[in-house]
Amino acid sequence: MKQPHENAFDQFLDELKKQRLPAPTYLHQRILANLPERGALNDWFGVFTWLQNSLWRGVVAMLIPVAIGFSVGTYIPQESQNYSVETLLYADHLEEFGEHEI
Amino acid sequence: MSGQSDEELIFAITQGDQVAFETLLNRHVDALYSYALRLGHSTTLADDLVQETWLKLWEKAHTFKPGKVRTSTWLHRILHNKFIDKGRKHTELLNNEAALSVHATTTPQSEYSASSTVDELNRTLAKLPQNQRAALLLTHAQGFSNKEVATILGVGTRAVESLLARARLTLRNYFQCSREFE
Repeated sequence: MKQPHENAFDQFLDELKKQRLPAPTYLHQRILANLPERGALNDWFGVFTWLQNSLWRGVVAMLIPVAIGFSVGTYIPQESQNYSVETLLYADHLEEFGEHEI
Repeated sequence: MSGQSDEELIFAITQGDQVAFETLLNRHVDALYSYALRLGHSTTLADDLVQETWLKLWEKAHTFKPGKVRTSTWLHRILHNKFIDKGRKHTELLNNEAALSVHATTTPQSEYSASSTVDELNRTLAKLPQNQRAALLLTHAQGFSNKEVATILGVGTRAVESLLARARLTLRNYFQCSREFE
């Protein structure tokens, strides 16, 4: 059997659940009356950010490693085929003066 | 418009749809007001908290992530954060049991017009520190799960369980003491 104070505690929780404190009507009106105007730019920005949050962030996150891999993959073969200007000039110099050992 | 889900309404709000805003307001404003009033014990504070919460929704609707949290959880989280911000400016609102007790018992009827049962509830709630009171209200009055309460308060689920256990213990002790006095 429950102690009287336990009953009081249960009753308190029950009251807490049942009791409704509706917002006064003036508060509805006050909130609606004080909404700031929104321009078309803000709306489009909002939609863009919404998309960015849910969809584009994921797409961009997936594209970043692909882009890095592509640029590294195209840059390295080109680089390996090219000699620096200094190396080419030195080779010309050696050829001109008859020294064939680099 | 009233048949639309909360998520659809929020998406409409991101495009500046005031009718969607009003529909969502009518759906959730009572629950928010009830929480704000019991949390802060003042109609003026509750009015401000609720208004600022809805203003933030209007401006930041695009930051809502559908599917992650329920709309009511998100709105309560905004309101709770507003309450904490105000508490930082007016420290007597937070974790000050004595101030809350005095405030709750001396609040004029015009300020907090309600029946004696409401006053009794209000006085009893004022016995709890702010974070325990918030956890108890969100669980028992607003009907959120422990996980949702954790999201609203910005703490872990274990911390919520601990807050609730301490709140229940404090209230049981309070009721036991008041019975012994009778």
